[in-house]
Amino acid sequence: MSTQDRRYWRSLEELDASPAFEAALEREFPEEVEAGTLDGTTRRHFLGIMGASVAMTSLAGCVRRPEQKILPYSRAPEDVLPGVPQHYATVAHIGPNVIGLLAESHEGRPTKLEGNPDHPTSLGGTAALHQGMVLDLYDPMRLQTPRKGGAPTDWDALEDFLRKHFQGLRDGKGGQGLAVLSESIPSPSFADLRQRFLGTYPGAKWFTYEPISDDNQREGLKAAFGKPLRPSFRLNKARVVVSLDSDFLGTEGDTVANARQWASLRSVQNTEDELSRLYVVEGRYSITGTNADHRLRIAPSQVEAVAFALAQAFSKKGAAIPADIMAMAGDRAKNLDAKAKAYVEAVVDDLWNRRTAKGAERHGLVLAGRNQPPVVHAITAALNHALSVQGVTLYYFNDFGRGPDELGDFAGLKALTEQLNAGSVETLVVIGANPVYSAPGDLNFKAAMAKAKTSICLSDYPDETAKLATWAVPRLHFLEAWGDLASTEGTVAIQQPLVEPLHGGYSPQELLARCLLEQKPDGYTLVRDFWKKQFAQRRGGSNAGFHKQWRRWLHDGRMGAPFFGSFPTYTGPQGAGDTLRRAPLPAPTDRSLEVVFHEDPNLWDGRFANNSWLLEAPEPITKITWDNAACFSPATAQALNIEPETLVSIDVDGRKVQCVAWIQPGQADGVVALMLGYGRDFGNFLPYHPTGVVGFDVNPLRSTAAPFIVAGAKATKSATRYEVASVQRYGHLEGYDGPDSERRGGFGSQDPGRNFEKRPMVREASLTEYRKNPKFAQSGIIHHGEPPPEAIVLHPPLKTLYEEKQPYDYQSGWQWGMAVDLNKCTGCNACLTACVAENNIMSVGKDQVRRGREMHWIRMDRYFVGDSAEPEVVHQPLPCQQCETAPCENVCPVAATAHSPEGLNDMAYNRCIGTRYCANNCPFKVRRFNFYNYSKGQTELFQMVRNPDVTVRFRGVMEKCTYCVQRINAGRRDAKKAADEKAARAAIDAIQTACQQVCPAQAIVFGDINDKDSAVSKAKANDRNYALLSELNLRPRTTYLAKVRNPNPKLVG
Amino acid sequence: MAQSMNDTIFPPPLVEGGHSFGSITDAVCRIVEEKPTVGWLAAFGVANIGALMLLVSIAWLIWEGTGIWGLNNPVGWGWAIVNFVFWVGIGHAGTLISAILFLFRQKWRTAINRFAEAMTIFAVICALVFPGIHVGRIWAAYWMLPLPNQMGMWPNFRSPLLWDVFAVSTYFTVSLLFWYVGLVPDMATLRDRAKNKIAFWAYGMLSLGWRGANRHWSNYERAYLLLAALATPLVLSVHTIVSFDFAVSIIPGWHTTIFPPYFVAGAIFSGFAMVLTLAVPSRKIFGLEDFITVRHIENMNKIILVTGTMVGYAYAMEFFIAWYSASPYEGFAFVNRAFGPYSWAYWIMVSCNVITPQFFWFKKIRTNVTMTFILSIFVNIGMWFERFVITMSLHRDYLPSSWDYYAPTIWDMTTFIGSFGLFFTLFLLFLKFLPAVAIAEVKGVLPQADPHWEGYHAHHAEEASHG
Repeated sequence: MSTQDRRYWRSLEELDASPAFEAALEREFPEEVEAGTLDGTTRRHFLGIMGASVAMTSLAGCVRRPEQKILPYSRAPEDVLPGVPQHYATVAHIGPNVIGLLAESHEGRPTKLEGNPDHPTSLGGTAALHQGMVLDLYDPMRLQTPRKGGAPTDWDALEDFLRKHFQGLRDGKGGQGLAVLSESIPSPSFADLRQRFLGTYPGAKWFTYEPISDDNQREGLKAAFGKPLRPSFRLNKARVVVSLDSDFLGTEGDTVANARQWASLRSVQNTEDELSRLYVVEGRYSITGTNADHRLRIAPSQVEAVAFALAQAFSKKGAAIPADIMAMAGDRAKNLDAKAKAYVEAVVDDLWNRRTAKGAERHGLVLAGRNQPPVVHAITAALNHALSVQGVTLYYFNDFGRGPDELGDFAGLKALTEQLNAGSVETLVVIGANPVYSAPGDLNFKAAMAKAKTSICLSDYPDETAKLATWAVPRLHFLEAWGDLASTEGTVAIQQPLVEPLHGGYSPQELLARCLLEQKPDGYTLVRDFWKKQFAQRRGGSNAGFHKQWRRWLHDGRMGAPFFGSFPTYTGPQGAGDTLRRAPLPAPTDRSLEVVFHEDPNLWDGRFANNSWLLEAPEPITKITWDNAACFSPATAQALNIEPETLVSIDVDGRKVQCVAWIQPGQADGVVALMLGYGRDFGNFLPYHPTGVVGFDVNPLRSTAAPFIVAGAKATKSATRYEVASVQRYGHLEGYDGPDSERRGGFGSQDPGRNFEKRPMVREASLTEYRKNPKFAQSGIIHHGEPPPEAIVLHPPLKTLYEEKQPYDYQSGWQWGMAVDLNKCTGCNACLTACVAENNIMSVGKDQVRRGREMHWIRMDRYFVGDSAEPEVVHQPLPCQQCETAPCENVCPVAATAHSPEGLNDMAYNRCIGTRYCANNCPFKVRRFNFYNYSKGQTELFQMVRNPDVTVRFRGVMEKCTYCVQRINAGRRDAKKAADEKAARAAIDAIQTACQQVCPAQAIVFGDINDKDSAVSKAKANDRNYALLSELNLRPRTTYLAKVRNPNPKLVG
Repeated sequence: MAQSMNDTIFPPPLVEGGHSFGSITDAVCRIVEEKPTVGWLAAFGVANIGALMLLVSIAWLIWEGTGIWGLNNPVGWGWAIVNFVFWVGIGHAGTLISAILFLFRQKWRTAINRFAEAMTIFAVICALVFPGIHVGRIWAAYWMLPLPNQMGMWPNFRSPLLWDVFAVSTYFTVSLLFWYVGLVPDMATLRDRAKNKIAFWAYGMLSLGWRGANRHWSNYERAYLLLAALATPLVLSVHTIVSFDFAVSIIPGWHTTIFPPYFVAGAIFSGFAMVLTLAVPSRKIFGLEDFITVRHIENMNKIILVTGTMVGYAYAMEFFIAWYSASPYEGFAFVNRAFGPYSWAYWIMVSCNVITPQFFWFKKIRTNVTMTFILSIFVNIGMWFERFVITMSLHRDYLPSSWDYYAPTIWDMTTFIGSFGLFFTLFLLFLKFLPAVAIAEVKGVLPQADPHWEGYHAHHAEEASHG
């Protein structure tokens, strides 16, 4: 399919108007009903209005100037230049996954996290989740003082209690009746303390629990290698990547590093370049799935069959696949349909034939998803072994996050629950995990926990578990505490605090040290002493030079060589062992549905449930904000008569959960995809957000036996409507031509108008098409009667009635521009969240998002391509295009938006009076208006997260992307101070916009377009470069590099 | 045919009921001088509630922000701008009747011009409320005016919104002056008839020492003629410039060169409809049927027929150009208008604006007062929807990812309804305190005013016998 034939659509309602949709249209003003209640005027509001009537008589009454006192430093700290932010290296983790970070500090106040380019988990980027972490530091809802039985108490009481209690446990009892439930903390010093803890309390039991569990992987790789290993990938060497339900670009493993490495092989500079090829076998649309060249839509339970079929086909090619796998393969793979079989054949050909290719071209990689049963992981290990990619695209490492002999997440939690119920646990210490919320429904952990006489819970929030614990202990945020973390492949980094604890609290290490009755249990000493000891061990007992080494570690944000094991290789997998015994799940049907649980890319397991930045970041595929949903495929929804935005009840083994239904094109039939992490009530923290629980808690449907995929579920529809705030399916977009979607064409067909499929927003071609016509992106320009131009034109040669005059000479000086490579963009939302963090963008809440008032300066546009059952997906990040002939500028009556000599479309907030004319006239609709005072009522604590270099916009003011003008200004200052031309050029080249810096895939390039050697100039010289809506002659400074897919010729029918 | 020929040669009288100079003065001044009727008080009460509703809506808007309206990201302009254009459009009939028809010596206009001009001024006042309050930071709205300031900032003279500020304020000023100058002789009449001190003093001030001297009349006629000449181009310019708010943009459905003439035609269309909506009940209630005759109504209906057909032509031409341009965005915008989510609004607009006036091809309907009233209401509705349909082009423009649907909130509605309250409050005050018909001018079109009037001598003889 070339660009012209592709039809783009956003939601199923558009593709075929559903009856509910048409019915909804009958309601003339669907939102007005709610409007009455939401805008409802109470007595106090009425008095407010009357007050405003009085205020109207005097305009002065409207100007708000808060009176605040400031104090200078009496003794200035060393190295701090007021107004110049400092960056410190630190490290954080979400479950077992570590990310190396650089934290930006403004006068001691951390405001923004960037990836640490030297850390292998980051390479400079971060994911959206990591961007949100800094907001949690200032969350007013955090647990701020210890609580005893729910009532706040003081620190002395807690210390006193801990000392006495653990003395009692140690002396005589030897820790009998003591159990610890900890989240996965891949920290060497924590592991050391854990070991000492278990030594001091030999009777104690230790459990590790992560609701987003890697149990399957551990079990599968243990079967294969005899050890619960963790894989680490080098996707920058993998030419053919096969994902068996693994969202390695979105939520599984070291996604940031994965995305960067994967994208490095998706770079197309010229027709000679080769692309890697990505096959994804999955049931629900994941971020990785949207980037697939070939996606096999299949129920998650049936991925196992695909894995067996792969093994079978490998074996046919002559690969040595362990016998126990082969023994089962024929039987387990037999139910695959013809399409899946053809797919498997093509994949194996592609993988296997490459083995004979030369050099870098020959390596492939197979990945297995977290939700897939252990046997899939074991088979995957065998396949990768057959491809002999270990040490090239794949490494295995020990798991640092937990002890080697531990039970898995769910088996451990189950054992703990049983012990609690049996009354054998008197003291329960919970570190970080929130099991009362996240435990599978069959355990009834809440009741079990109440049976422990004493429960001590180290928690960020007064969450479900902390509320129930006899002692709730505030946990320090990672930016407040010393620590250390080891990444999957063993790179250790010291977790360096940026700020004194805001409210007080313990780090996990500090809590354990107290439990161990240590004398000086402060985090710094604990971590430093541990590493001093490690250092001395390696240097034959000498501490000499440790201080210098320590400082280097802190400065670099990582240790030089991996501290644990240096890239070990493991001998060939032994087979799949016991994992083969588990019977495969039956294929789902409409009557017996299959439920798949997956982490939310924004809230993870729910630990970010009070993070408004992340709650408001649209889920990358459904584009839903502030909610999770039960996703059904269009066919299943139709068969079950389920309407989107109505509540459905999902029934698994008698456990029921209500959730809002959503129809997700591209999902496998018979599958219900449920997102974890929602349904927690944290109260109202935004002025225009309705109070109450956000989303639906689906944990009750999980069971310890089947926490990932469950068969035999039922979905019962209801008529109850539940409004969802999806940012790309607002309101009611109705087709005029009825449900007959076949008739629908683009412009030029007999049905002009209704649809937008042929609008050349996203231009794409296959690699073959691209090689045939490298300038294919130019043919997307709507310029009638003329063939596609030979040269790259950002604006077609339109006839103009007057001589075009630019206000400035754009040929001289620094001229800023941006190029977004659609081939690399994975659609992960990191840019959007980084922009929020950098530019003090307010979250507005669900109600306002539903009204179409979200404030994101960079919009992540997502379009579906193709039919509704198996569409492809394209992502397009859309910041302000910084048009040279900006249509927004000439319409502003007060000249509040104007061009800078460097080609920026500047916005003077102070001058803006809010006519919104600029936003109306923006063809990209990237301007955002402050309809209300969205920062109203934010506490001083919450305000500390703001970037002092960016104005906080008041109500009634328009705002938009400025290419992070504050960063440009900082770079420009550096350039002007630079000693010579070369240093100045380096300072200019070092300017990065927030979205560019964070992008894990390096899809965004920014810089000076007047410098022919700059990265952005080179990107714009690419054949694939095109300007959006170029026919309007806007001369946008942001351009896109068209997408090139790399389909397997054998699978293109 | 014979009858219409007859009409041309011997036009029917402009004033019916055999009025004399004195009886005209009596008939018009009576409305002002009598105690307010219960009906007037009741109407005034209702209108006041409406005006208060507007005040409360504006206060809440200033207190809370533009978010109380249904606006969203692609649709940055909603009912406020629709209402603005709607009221400005209505404000067109007055000056057209006064100025252009005056210059063309259309004597029939004298009975309705005062009325229509008042309507114009009040409609423009209502219109001016909206651009003022719809901005996000109302307290800084005055930055749109070219005032010297410490920032050294001029407004942006390239912005159509700024042109709007000038166009509408100029129009308002000239219309007000024109209206006032026409009022001067009648003020003097009221002053002379005043029974109490306050009225005497107030009308005395407003009549600027008018004594009916020959020189006064001569100066008055010249001033009136000059203002008419000044006001005439404004009738055309105001809505042309209002249309630039849309036409100068690049949004499909807005970016249309046909807008200036189409808006002017539409404005005259809606203005005349509003004059009729007001005049038909007023002439009945205040007994002005002799002055605002069926002939007046018929003439206005003809204008509605002409301008309504022009508007219909413009609608068709928009579609033709959208197709002819071969621009997919443009083509989509119009098909979406007719068949998209707002098709209901589009078809209300077409039915009211294109179909309704076609009834006026029939003389029976043209001269039927009840039918005129009903159809004029339809035109008013249709013209409001025209502006709504145009403004809503915003909801689906270039990139489908930003498309949305706009729905008004309760505050959009109270603000709109409240603007009618303000309008009728002012209008009812006008009816009660100022002469609703231009007394001096109507006298000028009486047969008696013609020096060659055949009854001249008999009349004088009669007057002499009375005296």
